[in-house]
Amino acid sequence: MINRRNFLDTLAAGSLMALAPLAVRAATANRVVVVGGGMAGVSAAKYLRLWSGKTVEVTLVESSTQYTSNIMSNLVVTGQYAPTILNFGYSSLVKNYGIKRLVGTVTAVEPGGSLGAWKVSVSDGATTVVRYCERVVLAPGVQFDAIPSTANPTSAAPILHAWQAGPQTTQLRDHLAAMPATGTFVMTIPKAPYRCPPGPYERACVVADFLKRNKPGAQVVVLDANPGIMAEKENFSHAFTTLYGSNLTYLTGRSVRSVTANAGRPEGSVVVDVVVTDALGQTVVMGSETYDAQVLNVIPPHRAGPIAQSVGVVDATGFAPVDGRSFESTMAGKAGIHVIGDASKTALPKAGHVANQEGKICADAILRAFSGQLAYATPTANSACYSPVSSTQASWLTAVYQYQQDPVTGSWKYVAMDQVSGATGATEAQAASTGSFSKMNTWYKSLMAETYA
Amino acid sequence: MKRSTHRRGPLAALLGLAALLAAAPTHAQSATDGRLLASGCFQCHGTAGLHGGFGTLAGVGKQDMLNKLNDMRTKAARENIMNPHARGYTNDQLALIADYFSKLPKP
Repeated sequence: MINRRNFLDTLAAGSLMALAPLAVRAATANRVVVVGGGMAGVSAAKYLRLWSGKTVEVTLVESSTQYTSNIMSNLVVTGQYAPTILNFGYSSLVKNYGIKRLVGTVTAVEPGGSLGAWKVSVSDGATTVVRYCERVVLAPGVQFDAIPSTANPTSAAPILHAWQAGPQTTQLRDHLAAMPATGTFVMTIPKAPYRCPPGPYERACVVADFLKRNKPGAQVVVLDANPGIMAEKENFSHAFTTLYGSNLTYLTGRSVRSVTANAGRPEGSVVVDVVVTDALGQTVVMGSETYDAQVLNVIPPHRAGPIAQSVGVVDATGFAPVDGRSFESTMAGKAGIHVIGDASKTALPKAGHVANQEGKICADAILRAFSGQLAYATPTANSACYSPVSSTQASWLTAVYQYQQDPVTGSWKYVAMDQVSGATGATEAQAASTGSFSKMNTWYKSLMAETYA
Repeated sequence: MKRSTHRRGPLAALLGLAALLAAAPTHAQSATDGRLLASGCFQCHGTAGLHGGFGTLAGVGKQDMLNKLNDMRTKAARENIMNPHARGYTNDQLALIADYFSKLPKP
């Protein structure tokens, strides 16, 4: 007959044996593959290494040899700053934190069987290698929807959006510089959510400022699919009506229907539906309008990058629903895959400063999971961004987002709230200023050093 | 070691194990809560509060930092970009953030 003491000994030994494989796995196999070397991806990679004391193995997969920043790229479009200010390499991250770099494109993310939770296949165009890991972090950014147009979208210089900084940024700069003195710059803004809520209005302002100084007979026409300015409404409205009252026309409820243009050529025309929302909240198309442009800049609607689509972590909106505490996918069968940055679907704005913080929240949650803890229940993220409204003045926009439960619906989401006054929403500067323009440069340097070094 | 203690050894070990299993996963406060909250300051104030463009936070005394943040909380949000930051966190969160930076060595 088994006595009490023997029973306990047996139970204890059995429990310890059952735990042993877990303990061994935790000590030897904490591997993460991060896909995408933008603001979100590299922040996750850096903090997974830094906060684990370099015990977690991190592989960063990115096909480009350097990152090109979207932040500040509007001042490259106007020629004020050199394109080189947008470039950041990966060597500091590799050297300082021991992140393993893999140059290539992820072609598949599949269950890894006995070799790891997930198997990530990476192609450099010639050969494919695989990496097994316990967690995958997808940070693929966005891709742009095709525009119904006469231009060949596979052309090296299609209708320019310049909303992914790189060759299009300098192409748009060159088109703007070469625009006829009495020409019209026409830009279109897609319906939210899109990357960088204040970004299109910032571009409209700095282009109008450039034209005012260099081509005083030229005009800017802004066709916004949204019902109004989506960020920093007071400061941009003020700039549109005062600084650029004579050379900028801002129109809301203009949704692109089709574009006539030739790839590689700056000019074209755009047909927009005029959309209004009636008293019942239904959108009604009131008619259409055609705008001729000497320089055309069409920012199409976007969705999560291709790998998020093919891995199956996106929903019908085109973006990836995630648990805001960890940024782990909430799609069925995708446990252990996290989606951060512009590809994810949260109440947080799609912006580099925020993407950096999403990387840290995700890294902290993964490290807690590796030690058997749940993610921090109520993380915070903040947005702080400076937007130029001219070559010398900038505004700012900021918010602290609390992950909290809606008392009515019971759902959890990030909410920007002033804890003192109870007011919700982001806060914008009282007014644009030269002081804020100077601080914008400091902010950019700080943010990029914190992210890429 | 007393015999009574020794005799309870296996039971204590089991209870300890049970406590460990019950504690993980957990929502209890973790040592990294303050670090995670404070990491939202790094974008402007540098990684771990060092080498940023808007002032060093590493090694700043907890009460000094809380005094500054509380002062910002009383000011109009739109006057300075730091005011909405100070106003955006709860008192408990600000205390955790200030505590984290105060324990980092001064540069």
